[in-house]
Amino acid sequence: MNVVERNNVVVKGKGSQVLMFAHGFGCDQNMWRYVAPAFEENYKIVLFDHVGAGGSDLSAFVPQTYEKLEGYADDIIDIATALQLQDIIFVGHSVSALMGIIASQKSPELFKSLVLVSPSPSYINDGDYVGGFTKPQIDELLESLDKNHLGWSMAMAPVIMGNPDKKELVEELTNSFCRTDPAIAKHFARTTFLTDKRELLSAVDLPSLILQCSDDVIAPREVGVYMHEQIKGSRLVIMKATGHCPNLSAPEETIYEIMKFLS
Amino acid sequence: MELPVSPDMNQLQENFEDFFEEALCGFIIADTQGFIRRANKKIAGWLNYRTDELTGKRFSDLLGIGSKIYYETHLRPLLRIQGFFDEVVLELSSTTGQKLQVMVNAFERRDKNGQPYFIRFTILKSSDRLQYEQNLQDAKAIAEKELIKQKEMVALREQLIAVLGHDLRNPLSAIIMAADLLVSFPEADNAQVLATLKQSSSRMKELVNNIMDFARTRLGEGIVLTRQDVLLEPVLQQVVAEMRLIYPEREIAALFKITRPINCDPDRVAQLLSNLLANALTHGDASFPVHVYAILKNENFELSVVNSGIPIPADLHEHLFAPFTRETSRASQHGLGLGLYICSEIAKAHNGTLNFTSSGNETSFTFCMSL
Repeated sequence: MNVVERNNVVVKGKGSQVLMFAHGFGCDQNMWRYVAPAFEENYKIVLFDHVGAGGSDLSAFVPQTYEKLEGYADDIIDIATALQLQDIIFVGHSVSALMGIIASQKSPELFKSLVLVSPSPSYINDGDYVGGFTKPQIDELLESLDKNHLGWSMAMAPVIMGNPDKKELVEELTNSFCRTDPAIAKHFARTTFLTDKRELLSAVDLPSLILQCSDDVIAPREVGVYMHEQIKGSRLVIMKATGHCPNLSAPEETIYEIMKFLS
Repeated sequence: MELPVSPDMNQLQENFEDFFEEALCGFIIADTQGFIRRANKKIAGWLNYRTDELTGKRFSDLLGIGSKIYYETHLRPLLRIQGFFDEVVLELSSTTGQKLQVMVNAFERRDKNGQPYFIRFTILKSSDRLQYEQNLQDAKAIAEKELIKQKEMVALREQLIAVLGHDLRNPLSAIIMAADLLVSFPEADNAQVLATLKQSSSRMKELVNNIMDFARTRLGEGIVLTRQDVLLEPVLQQVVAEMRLIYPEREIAALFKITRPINCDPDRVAQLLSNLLANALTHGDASFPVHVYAILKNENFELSVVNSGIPIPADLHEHLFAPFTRETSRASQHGLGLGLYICSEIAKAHNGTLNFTSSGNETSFTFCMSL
């Protein structure tokens, strides 16, 4: 299988030090469009789409493989291996931050440091742990996935299912960024929001930066603080940016914090 | 179209305010962080809020959990990248927890430097529309299911015809050859030729009976029993005797211990034994006898047929009782693959079971029904 096509891998930049950007649940590599260009002058930029998202090869989606984050983490290792990347600085947003941690523990020789943007090891409150969602809320989420109540099903289907022979027709449709196959999005949502990888954090021994937004309903501040406490020697930055996607809502602040960490 | 007479400016200002509050859709204006600055009466009313209560909340606070995650992870990025999104289905949650399905358009107002300024949302109720779409989806699912069923049926019928043609040809050829011999040599000792005639025509009768039963069970009403209290031993002896006639070179060892009448359909039980015996005689090792046992045990009637020889291949075990299951390696002499299917249907019709064991050098089929 051609990994580059499978994950729609894009390599840019003039430098040799590798900076690999991984998008989170709900979008694709467009997530990094305001951040990645700032590093092109001095770094080798690697962008890609997870299988099922954006321009990836949808036929490569095997439900069992991607039932767990490990399946996605293996793809990251595949990309690094296929492109012969080394000393990777991995920048992962949201659930991809955890995929990066998993990949770095599976193949430590490939990675140099981790930038974790709005990460969360587990979304469900559990005793003293604040994950951001209660068990009933997650149950409601799973139910809404089952009942097709998530917007993807209807809003996105025409875009994806649009006649592939008529590319121009697809282009004319709105909401054309961050395309996701509805069935895969549902599967990915389940994988993401049922994940509990808290036990992995204490074993992280790479230099790590945690970027935590100040008002994030997906990964609240407590989660960033928890990550910081668990990962030895990590640096935590509480950003002025709000929401879950500082890479889009506050690209300058995101770029600044990553540069500061790398220098 | 004739334009209405324009009212004076004050009147117009008043009308815009009224238009915003009393529009036929919900309007929300939020800051770039997603906090609501202003919402109209319509959307507040739908969700059971006062309009001022909505100010200061996040837009995503109004959403059900699935929609909230969808919004934060997908729509907000989309707004930032694309500047708008259109016709997106979301689920709003009212103060009483009631869910409202809506269609939302959103637009990010940007200043001349491209910096976001505020976000506008237009919200249309669409419960009926979505119900209609759901109905279409359901209807489609039902039609697809029906189509698959029909396709399977067609495949089954085609298979039936193909296999039937193939398997009737051999015994029929044998009969034609026997008839030719009788015509050419009417005076000769024809015992062997007559045995062939008997054997081949019985084989054809068995195939045709199985086909008829298959058509009834699979494409129609199932096997219908005519139950009666009957002494089974003579019935079963008759089947064994017929088989001995058809296979004169083979040994069939029968042991019957059925001391009282059994309530069953004797013709069907005979058919079951006939099918099992025919299988055992064709598949079993010809140098060993085939055993038939019929006994009463713990208030059960048990009828077993046991043969020696190579066991049934493991890959056939799971679907052994499904129609058209045949050993692929030596298929032609083995009939339609309907025999065991019909046997299991006959067992089922008697509220009984048909089980088998096949290992080492022995294969055994047992029909068991409680009395």
